[in-house]
Amino acid sequence: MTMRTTLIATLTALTLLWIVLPSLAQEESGAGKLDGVEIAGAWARIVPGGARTGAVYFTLRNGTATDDVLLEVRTPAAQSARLHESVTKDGVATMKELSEGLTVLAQSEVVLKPGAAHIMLVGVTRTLKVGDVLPLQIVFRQAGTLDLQVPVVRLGATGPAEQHHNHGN
Amino acid sequence: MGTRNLRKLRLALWAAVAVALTVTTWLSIHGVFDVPQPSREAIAIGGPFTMVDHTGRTVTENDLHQKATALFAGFTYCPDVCPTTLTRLASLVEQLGDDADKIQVVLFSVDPERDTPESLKTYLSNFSDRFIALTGTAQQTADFAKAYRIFYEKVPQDNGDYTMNHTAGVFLFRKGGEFQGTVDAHENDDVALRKLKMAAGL
Repeated sequence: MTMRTTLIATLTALTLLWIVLPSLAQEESGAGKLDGVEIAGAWARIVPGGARTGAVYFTLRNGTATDDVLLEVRTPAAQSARLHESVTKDGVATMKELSEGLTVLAQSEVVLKPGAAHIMLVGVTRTLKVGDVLPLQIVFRQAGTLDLQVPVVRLGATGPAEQHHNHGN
Repeated sequence: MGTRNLRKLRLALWAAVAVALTVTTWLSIHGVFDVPQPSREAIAIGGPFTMVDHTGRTVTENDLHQKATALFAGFTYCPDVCPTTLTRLASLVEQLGDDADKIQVVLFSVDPERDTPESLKTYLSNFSDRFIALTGTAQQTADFAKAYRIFYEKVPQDNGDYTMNHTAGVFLFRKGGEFQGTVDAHENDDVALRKLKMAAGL
């Protein structure tokens, strides 16, 4: 192959990728599936300014016949991503780290939502604004590692829907 | 029993009466028997304080209680409970429509170490431009929390960072500072809205 052909082929491939990738990403945004374990409706809200903490929520479905455990969350966008649960006991709001992971029983689902279990992002290193996508890797004991693209919504949002349909409250 | 013994017994009994009287009088003087009087102001929450708001302005109890108030304790590094509560309060206040300015939402920062007026201003802008935040020195914060019966504590994380445990409920006050009640996360919006309206005198 001549240099010229290579260049044209590469450019064509890149152009195709450029056209195809965003639409793929759009479709995949906030959802992912891996060997019967599925994540849907993911959304993230990031505290802007100095705080740089954030929370990610989603619905986790285990369609397999065996229990699985969400062990770890990784992201290049923050110093760490921790599995937390907000617990209000005797009128005091506390946060508990789920150090043993989060178990999803066979054929059932777990919902991560405000005021309950969530992924806490500590030390967000990238500038994330509304409309951006946060890359996450979710590691399961059985199913392995699932890549997820999470849409970033405004801090005052209560769910992912607003991002796509512009409903407001 | 002889007369002599009877006399001794009588003396002993009188002595016992004298001791009992002395003890009772002493206890009574020192208020041990005082039954708390039921008061119309059932729970006194609040008191003198000096804090700084998110614009850098000094705020005291007199400034705060010019208006009905929904007070919430939180901090900007809080990713879950605080944005959730503030979002809910923003939505509730919005539902008051034209009366929205009859009640103010006040975020009391339990993390004065990290929450400067500037960071609180940025933080609040995500919820409502009506909201007010209060911060101060460690001592001012502790004084405010004591007066308003707010609990908070620092919880160190294993990475050297820390998070805060804090009172989760929203405290409602009427204009003038009379404590009205609380709103918690588990109540539905109708109940919460009615409580807000009551505090605002609507």
